Amino acid sequence: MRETAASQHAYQRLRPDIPEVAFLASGCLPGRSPLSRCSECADACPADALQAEKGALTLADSCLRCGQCAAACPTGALRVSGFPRSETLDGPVEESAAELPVECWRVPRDAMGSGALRVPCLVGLDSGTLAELSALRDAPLVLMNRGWCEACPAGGQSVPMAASVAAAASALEAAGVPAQRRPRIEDRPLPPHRATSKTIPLAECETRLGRRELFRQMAGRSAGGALGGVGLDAPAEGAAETRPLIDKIAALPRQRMARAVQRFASTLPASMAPRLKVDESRCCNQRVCAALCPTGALQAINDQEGSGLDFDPVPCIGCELCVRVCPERALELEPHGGASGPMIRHAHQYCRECRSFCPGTGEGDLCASCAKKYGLLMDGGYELLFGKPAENSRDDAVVPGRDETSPGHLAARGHEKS
Amino acid sequence: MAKWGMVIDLDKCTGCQACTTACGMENDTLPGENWQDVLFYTEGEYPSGRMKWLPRPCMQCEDPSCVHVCPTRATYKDHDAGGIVFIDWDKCIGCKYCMIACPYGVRFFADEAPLVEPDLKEIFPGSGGRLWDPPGQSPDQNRKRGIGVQPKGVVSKCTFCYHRVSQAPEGVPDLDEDDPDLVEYVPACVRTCPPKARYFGDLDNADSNVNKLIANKKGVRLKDHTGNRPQVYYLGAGAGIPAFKPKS
Repeated sequence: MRETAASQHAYQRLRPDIPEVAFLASGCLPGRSPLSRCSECADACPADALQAEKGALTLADSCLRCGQCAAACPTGALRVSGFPRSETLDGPVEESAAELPVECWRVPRDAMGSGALRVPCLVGLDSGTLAELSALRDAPLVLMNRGWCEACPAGGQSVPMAASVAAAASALEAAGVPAQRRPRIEDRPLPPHRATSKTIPLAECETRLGRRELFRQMAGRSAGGALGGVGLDAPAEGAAETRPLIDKIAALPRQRMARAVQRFASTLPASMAPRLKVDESRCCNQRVCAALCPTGALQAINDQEGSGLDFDPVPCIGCELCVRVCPERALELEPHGGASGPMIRHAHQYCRECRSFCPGTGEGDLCASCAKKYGLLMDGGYELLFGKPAENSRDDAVVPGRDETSPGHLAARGHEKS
Repeated sequence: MAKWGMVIDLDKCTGCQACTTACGMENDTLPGENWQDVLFYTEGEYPSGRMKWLPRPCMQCEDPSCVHVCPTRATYKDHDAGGIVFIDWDKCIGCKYCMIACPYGVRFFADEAPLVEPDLKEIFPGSGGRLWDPPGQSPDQNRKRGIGVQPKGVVSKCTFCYHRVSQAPEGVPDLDEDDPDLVEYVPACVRTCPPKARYFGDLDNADSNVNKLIANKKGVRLKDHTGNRPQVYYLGAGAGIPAFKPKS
């Protein structure tokens, strides 16, 4: 069991023979809660190699290592080697006037300009990475469209990376970034016979290795060692302390996008900030939503003044788990126009049974557990304990089971006096 | 596999809370977080007030509300383990939805302010992710079944002392604390009950004493209209302190 907890906390290979693809179980939304119906990775896979069933991923032999599953994952629970990693993207802005071309691994090195960023597949770059790569440089990011995508098994369309480039560009535009610093696609067709291979080449072919490195990597591969910088985490020390499903996850794609935008604008543009609306008449302050929120965008607050919810649109990935889990159906998520800050507050209520201030639920003057206690006297519970009330009983004993609206007034008479 | 059930005879129960104490000692629950509790109710006013009490373990419902609502499927009913409702502490995120749903109020989240001062979580701070390190001996932690001292941030509940009950030989109709061969397998509350108001046995076994008691003495289940169908039955109209009735 401890091993399970540790493995949920660390990126693990889905298959030992496909070391390029790593998976973080605790970051997968359906793995965290069956209420999530997310299947973005499986839907994005161009080769139908990835199957997602209730948070358990299976990868078939046909995997192309294109990274499109990782680009689609809203929480960054999948990683494919060969793409820029989030931690390498943080840093000062490079002052460079030259634009940065981005090429796929199929493009031969002699056909491209020097200094290009090479990735296995251009579609495997998510919009957050594109935005952050652009934000890090003074000059634009240019994705080179060589016109091979339509025939490529990882492509299928003429310009499959258009959507993520447009998303990154519009987010940067909303933050006031000038057009020349936004990512764009440039058509530079090359004849198909120039491609190094029919599909994405393996990482070994891409990295030019000396003899020694080659042997070292082959040894590492057979022993299950890391190859190609997929970045497996070592299982955490003291695995018993890990709480993979309770701890919030850093939704990396969203984080990258937010980081890029916040280099230019202090607050997230309204078009990027989801808005969570709460129906104050329905909210019963149960705060199940905050416990289930995978990223910590929704926080449960309990302090001296009261208890309630705070919402921060920056980490919100719009998974709608909060909306789905709310027992009162009090939440509604809109894609735009959210702001950070307190969402709802309930004043503490004095429970006359346990005589303490408890988080208010807006239901009577008993706290939740004391209301349960008196609830047991309803519907036969009263007769079980006190016997059937006499027809013309002399003492005007109250029969709490008869009055559903005030479960606690049985004891109320005693306590009001005290 | 047996379907474990409990019968509590309210005519015998004296409300002494020995079951509550035994449960707390057996399972190392924090003070106030009583998986097994005796609830006291008063009715009427001085001098004609009446007091009644109701021992309340987890009902181990056949159709448990808590299992239906759990957003992570952490709590589950295991028909292969006596029909007991368990919590998988590796899956539980402490959202407390089950506590809202449970009609009997038998689930506990002990991470917040202590119900009884002083806070033993501070006096015996937990190591290795555990909520606290009790000075006594606890059952071996079984995170899949929610047994032992709980980790931080999860809900806990009565397990019918599964760590004991599961050791019982196959096919026994009742776990009777008077049987020296079985006494070690009896849940702590049943074993300790001074007036022997509690019975524990197999509800699926027609010959079991618990089934005979339920049939002969008209055992009832609490809040039966909810459809939860508890595996805990109550007998009798309930002992208690009767109302004082002055002679007229």
